[in-house]
Amino acid sequence: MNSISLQQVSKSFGTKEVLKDISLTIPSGEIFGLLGPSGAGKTTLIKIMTGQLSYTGAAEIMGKSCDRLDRSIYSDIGMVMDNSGLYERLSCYDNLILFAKIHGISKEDVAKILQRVGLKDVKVLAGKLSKGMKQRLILARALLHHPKILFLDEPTSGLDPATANEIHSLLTELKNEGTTIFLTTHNMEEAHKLCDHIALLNEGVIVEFGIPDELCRKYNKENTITILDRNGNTVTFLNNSGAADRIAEYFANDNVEAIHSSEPNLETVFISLTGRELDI
Amino acid sequence: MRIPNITALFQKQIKDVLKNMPVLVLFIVYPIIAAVMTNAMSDQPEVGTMFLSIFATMHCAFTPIVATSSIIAEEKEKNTLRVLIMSNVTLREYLFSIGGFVLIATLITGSTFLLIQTQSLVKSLLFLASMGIGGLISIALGMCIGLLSKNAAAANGLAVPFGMVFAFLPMLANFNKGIEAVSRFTYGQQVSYLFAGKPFTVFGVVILCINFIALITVSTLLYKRSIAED
Repeated sequence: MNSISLQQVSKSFGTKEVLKDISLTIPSGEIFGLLGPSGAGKTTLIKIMTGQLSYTGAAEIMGKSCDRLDRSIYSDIGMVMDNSGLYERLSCYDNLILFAKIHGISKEDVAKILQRVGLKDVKVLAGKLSKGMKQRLILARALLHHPKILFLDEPTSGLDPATANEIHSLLTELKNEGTTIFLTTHNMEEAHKLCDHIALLNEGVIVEFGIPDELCRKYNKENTITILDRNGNTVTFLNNSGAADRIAEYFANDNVEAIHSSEPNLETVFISLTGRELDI
Repeated sequence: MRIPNITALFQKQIKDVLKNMPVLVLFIVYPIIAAVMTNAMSDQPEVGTMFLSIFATMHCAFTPIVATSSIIAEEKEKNTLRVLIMSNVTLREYLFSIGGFVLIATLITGSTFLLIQTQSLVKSLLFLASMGIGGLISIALGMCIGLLSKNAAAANGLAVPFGMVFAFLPMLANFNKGIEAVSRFTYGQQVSYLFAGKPFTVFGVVILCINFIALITVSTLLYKRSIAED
């Protein structure tokens, strides 16, 4: 079953077309990554899918048209947007208790969520939290009501690697529990590590779609294998049947320190498709 | 409207305002000034009554306008209002809880005026009813300003002049008949008459109703515009 389905979705602000004929289907229980530079239209697409913006084309979330979303859909989705506000004069706990009451969640569940996202000092005011801790609190709030679909807009942007890794682990756990996760990012490592499928978005157009590893192999133009031998020398072979015997010889002589194939990373794929970098 | 949502927002608002010094001060400043001024004029009871009427008018006109608009605009600015709406809270529930909170806070802090000058039970109830009427109209105006403004600074920029018109004009009218001729068309002046112990008049009731209906209509239009934007 598909959690999200978009068919030729377009969106314009005035005369500027920010999304052009976007078509995607996202099966339930997978992590989908939308990669693109700032201003590519990623947040606009999330707003369309969550019923916050009008559009042309056909968009459905959990089988319901996004232009006629019932308010009850908000019980099934969780959102972490880059501008998700917190009540800065309230403690972390009070911030969550408010939304727990709105969703009819028990205090015990609030404590479990706080533990799960790694927020220990719950009495501290939200305004005094570091960026990483604020992001954990926003994530806790989004997870409070056990949403079926989680929209994450740049969830680890500006976070230290340790915090980002903890959030990645949590997202993987959620996926294993059956939550569908729609993630936007311009961090290709994050997308490669987490996502089952990705789409590369540039200037409102999806320029490529697929499984991260397959995309990297598809755009492997060099198609070479490089061996670093025990003496520190590097030897590069074209990846064809002729190279097999020579590579086997290196292994037979126990002369392989490291071996690498030449697949590009997602950033290189994006640059080769669009001529621009992801983090601009 | 769902009661759990309204009570959750109401409780949140109590906790938030207790840590929001500018709004908290708004609720206590006029009763304190009234107490000081009335005490200073204790040998002239009629002047004390005038001070009570002046500051009670300011309390029920100025405070709810600025507090309501500032709370709503801050929630818009910090995006917490959008988060609430995306959590299945309706804008109507939100406005009802904020309006309810400001009205109750105005009445509770406003009841301290009754401690300054002893009055009969009937007069005390009439005093609180007048404060409730003035507060309600001011909350409607505060909602208009809050829904119209993009941030708290813009809301204050609008709310303070409006608050001054409705709260300070009645004070000036005490000393200038020309100003009173104009200000009697405002709800602030009519509420001020009630605080001063003047009886209800048909003209006064009509003015209060017109002010209330006009502001409720504008706030409803702005509410619908906000819904459409969302």
